[in-house]
Amino acid sequence: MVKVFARRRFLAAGVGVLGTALVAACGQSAAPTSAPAAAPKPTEAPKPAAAATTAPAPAATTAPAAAATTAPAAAATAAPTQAPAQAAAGAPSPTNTPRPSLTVQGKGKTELLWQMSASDFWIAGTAKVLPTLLDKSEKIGKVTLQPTPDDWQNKLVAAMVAGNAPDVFDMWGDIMPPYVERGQVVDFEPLVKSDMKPEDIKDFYEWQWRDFVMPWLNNIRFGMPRYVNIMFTWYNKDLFDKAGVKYPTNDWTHDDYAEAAKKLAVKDASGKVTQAGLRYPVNSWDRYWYKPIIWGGHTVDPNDNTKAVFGEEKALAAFEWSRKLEWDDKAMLNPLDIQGQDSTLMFAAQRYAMNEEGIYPFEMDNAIQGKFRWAYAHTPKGPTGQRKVLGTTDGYAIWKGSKKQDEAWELVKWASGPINQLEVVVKAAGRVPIRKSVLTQWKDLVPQARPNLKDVNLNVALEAMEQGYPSGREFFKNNIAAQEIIAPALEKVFLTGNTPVSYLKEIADKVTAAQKGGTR
Amino acid sequence: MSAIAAYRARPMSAERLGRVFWRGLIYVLTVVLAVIFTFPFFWMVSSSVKPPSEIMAMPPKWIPSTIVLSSYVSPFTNLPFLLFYRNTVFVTLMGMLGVLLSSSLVAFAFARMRWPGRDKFFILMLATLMVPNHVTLIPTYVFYSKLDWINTFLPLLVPEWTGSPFIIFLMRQYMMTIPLEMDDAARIDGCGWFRLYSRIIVPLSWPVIGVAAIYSFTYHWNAFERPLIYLNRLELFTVPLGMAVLKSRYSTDFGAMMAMATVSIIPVLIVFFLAQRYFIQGVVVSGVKG
Amino acid sequence: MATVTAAPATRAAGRGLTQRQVEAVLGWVFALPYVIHFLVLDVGAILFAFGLSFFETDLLTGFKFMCAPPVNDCFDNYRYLFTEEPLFYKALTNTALYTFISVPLATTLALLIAVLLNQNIKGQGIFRTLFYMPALVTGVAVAIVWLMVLQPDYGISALVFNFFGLKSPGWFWSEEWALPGLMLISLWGAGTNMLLYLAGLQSVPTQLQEAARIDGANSVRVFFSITLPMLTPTILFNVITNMIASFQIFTSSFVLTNGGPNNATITMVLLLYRKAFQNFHFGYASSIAWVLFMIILVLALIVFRSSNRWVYYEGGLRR
Repeated sequence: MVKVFARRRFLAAGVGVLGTALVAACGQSAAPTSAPAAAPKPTEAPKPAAAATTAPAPAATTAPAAAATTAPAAAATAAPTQAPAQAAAGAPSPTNTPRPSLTVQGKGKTELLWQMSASDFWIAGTAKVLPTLLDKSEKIGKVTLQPTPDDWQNKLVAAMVAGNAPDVFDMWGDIMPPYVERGQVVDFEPLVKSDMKPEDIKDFYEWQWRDFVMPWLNNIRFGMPRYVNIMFTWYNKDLFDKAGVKYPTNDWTHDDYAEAAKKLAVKDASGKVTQAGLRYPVNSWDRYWYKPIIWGGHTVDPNDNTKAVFGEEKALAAFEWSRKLEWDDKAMLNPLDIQGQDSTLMFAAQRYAMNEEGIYPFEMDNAIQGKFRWAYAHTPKGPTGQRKVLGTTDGYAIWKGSKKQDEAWELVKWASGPINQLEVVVKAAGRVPIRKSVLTQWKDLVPQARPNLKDVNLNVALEAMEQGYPSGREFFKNNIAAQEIIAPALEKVFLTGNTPVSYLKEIADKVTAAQKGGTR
Repeated sequence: MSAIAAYRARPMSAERLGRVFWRGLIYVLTVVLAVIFTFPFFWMVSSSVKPPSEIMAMPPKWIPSTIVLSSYVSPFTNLPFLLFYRNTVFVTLMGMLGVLLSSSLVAFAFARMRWPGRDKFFILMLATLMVPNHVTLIPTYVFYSKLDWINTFLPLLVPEWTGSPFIIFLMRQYMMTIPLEMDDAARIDGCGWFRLYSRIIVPLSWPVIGVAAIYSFTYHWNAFERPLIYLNRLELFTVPLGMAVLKSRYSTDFGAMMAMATVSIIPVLIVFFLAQRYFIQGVVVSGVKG
Repeated sequence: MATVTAAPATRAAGRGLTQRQVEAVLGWVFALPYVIHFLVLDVGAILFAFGLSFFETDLLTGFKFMCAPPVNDCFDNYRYLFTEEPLFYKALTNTALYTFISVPLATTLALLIAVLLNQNIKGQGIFRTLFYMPALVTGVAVAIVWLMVLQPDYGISALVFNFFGLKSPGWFWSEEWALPGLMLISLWGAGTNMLLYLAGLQSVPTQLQEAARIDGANSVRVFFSITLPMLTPTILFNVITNMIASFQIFTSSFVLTNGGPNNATITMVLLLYRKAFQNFHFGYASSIAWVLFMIILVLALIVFRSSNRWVYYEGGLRR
């Protein structure tokens, strides 16, 4: 109701101001001296209902007196009488329009706010499935979904400071440390121990379950998994056939990978690359850290998270692999060529033959629409024979300041439970679920929903989970300080070029130095 | 072009030749600049009707191979975009109305009246524009949330209804070009300060009020930051927020985004086209010109 | 609030104060909407932000007052900014370069377009609409199109430069050209300012121009000695507001380059934003804001001071 009143008050204000302005205009007013005093009041905006009530009055002389006596208190009572004016002004009247049903009603008393960074179809799907929880829950009364676009973190911080942050919100590996360090999220570990059965916990993937806890952050379990994204190599079969390159196999190494990329790159007469062999999010550390590992190195010293080791030989060899492919062989896309754009749409536009990225089959089908044949492959093994990629720790967290943590826990548990995973994550969004028991259904349901996805080798997801090779990223102790130094350096090497990877040696030292503290 | 043809029919003097040259130059320059300025808009419209596989093509496909209109339909089925448009229209019109009424009055005080502290207060007003929004974002949010204004349009509209420094400054500059004799004459005729404002200065400031209206309209129509911070509920969303929901962490429905942007821009272009004539050319500003 | 102050003022007027006194009171009354805006909405937040620069705080877990032990230096945030912040001078130089180059260019271009469109040309209304269009196109489309246009190998920039037998600058793909790239894009927004000049041109008395023409002045002369002086109040507005906005450039560098490559396009507000919302050093971010504020304020005051030499107000300001 507050919202309705707010709108009405504004309409009242608008009408009032117009009315007063007209009446008070030069030459029509019986008592011009009082007119100036009447004018500024309506423009005072939020509480001008008093002016509205006097609007029809014939003489402006009454305006100041009426306004003086009524003031803000009158606003609430005056507002409803302005309802006809609202219709006349053609403004939205919330009562007449069917409300989008993002508020789902239950039996209990508590109202929960669930902020969700997701696309339209995901949010709509959640609203549809939520009654399966709310019809049973004794405690939760109402859940309001708050869809929020990409740039939602500023809003979250502001709301945390103001004390009205949502009860449940998104949290994932890459963005989590500052919130966890500042104790802004509820530690799920004790709740999991007291409230979940061991066989239930076994239904999650071991590596993902493990990586929701950070030993260096007081062993806090910062979230419950929402879905999982794993890096695979997507390849365009038509372009492979055209270039006469054999499709990727499970024993592909990074040498094979680079060879294929070189053969798949297409150059025009002047030597410009019109179609890259491979696209890889080289300048995104969150997506890069695993390459040094499969080369036998690390980015962060496993025994000391204040020490950067990506300047060591093996790690540098991994960087050199990418640098050479991009600048010497001209077979890999410059990361800036995709800035602000969409790697799925660019794959659909055949800007590259291979893309090392996450797994979102529905979106890929939307973009490609069966125009060419393509499939997923495991990202090749490194020189050490090891396979490793980023598997995300996308989850939901509960705000530490929430006064409804019990109810929120019930909601989050449900979100990572089998019903939501099947109905929303799999059926509505086509994403990989975080439960083993749902994963096989995902593999069957996705091609059923989209016949184009029959031959894209969805099996890779099952195999990756079986082998357990994905994992969450490596973190520095002060990850943000590290990031601030690393990001520009990667741009120097991969975006502008002309910089040897040995440059990263000094960068690693700088990162280590910055871990000692003192930076702001 | 017909003007040039008319000139051609007659033998040309050097002076005429010069004039034809200048006119030709003006046309060429205008057209070239116009093409550059409309480029992104053109890309936006063409992307909204492209098959998805052509949106990111390189070299860019400016003309789609087939016209696909599904981008114009799907957002309306998944999200209440009609409601978003109505919210946007409401916020925009109310914001514009508020800012014009309040700012013109304050600008009048700054430009035409003598009051103690006027010039110092004016500098103070401009100084508020110099504080980066990012540092006042959180205290402002806390303030509005203490008033329980989160999830209402009030944080978007109240600052407009109490005058925007930018618009006040804009209007003040224009009002100061109106000869002071106008005021004296009106005052001798017995016109009070408010009548001077409403009957003389406002009508004479019509061009700048038009500009302010268009600025304010555009600002509210495209506003993203403030609505994002203050509006959480879907039923309060504006079009730019709705468009942002078409984008998620890993993928973006570009076609739909561009379609919704096109739908939101075209009416504004029409309004602008009709309005610019009215306030730039249509009004005879007799007081100034006479 | 409004009613309480306003009502006595009117009554007082009736009791026969001098004209000047009435004007003085009514001046404040007319300015009242903004006085309220200033006192209620702005001042609190601004003072809070100012005070914050003397603290180390993430706003979430507490405040550490810099004047007290263990730091014992009220200006510690400022000290760090000036002496230790690796990106401060780069951000400051970038921001200043951006402002001092793009503001004069954008102002001139806007004026040029306005004069062009004030000519009696066909399709005037359509052209005006087209030139205003950039203000309406949203961020994402703009970012993508510019990156496509300026791509140095196969973008339109390459086509144009190759046509003249030259190699395209690297724009956002190089450290040297990234900032000029942002300046180029700012010119594209000239349509917004154009509108202002078009309105300003309406207030130029035509008979003055005609009289000058009769006296034998050519168009160029008329423009420089009559039209331009009459536009100076608008130009002042434009220069001041563009300067304020340019010093606070954030969105285009955030969206297009995120400060890169290798911090080539880092700006003061982008630095501030990172320190506040990524590093959670709100106190430190606030000190950056105040340094920036002081710079803008001093420059704005210089421009204002100089303005009585070059700005011509037909109405003047009553003193």
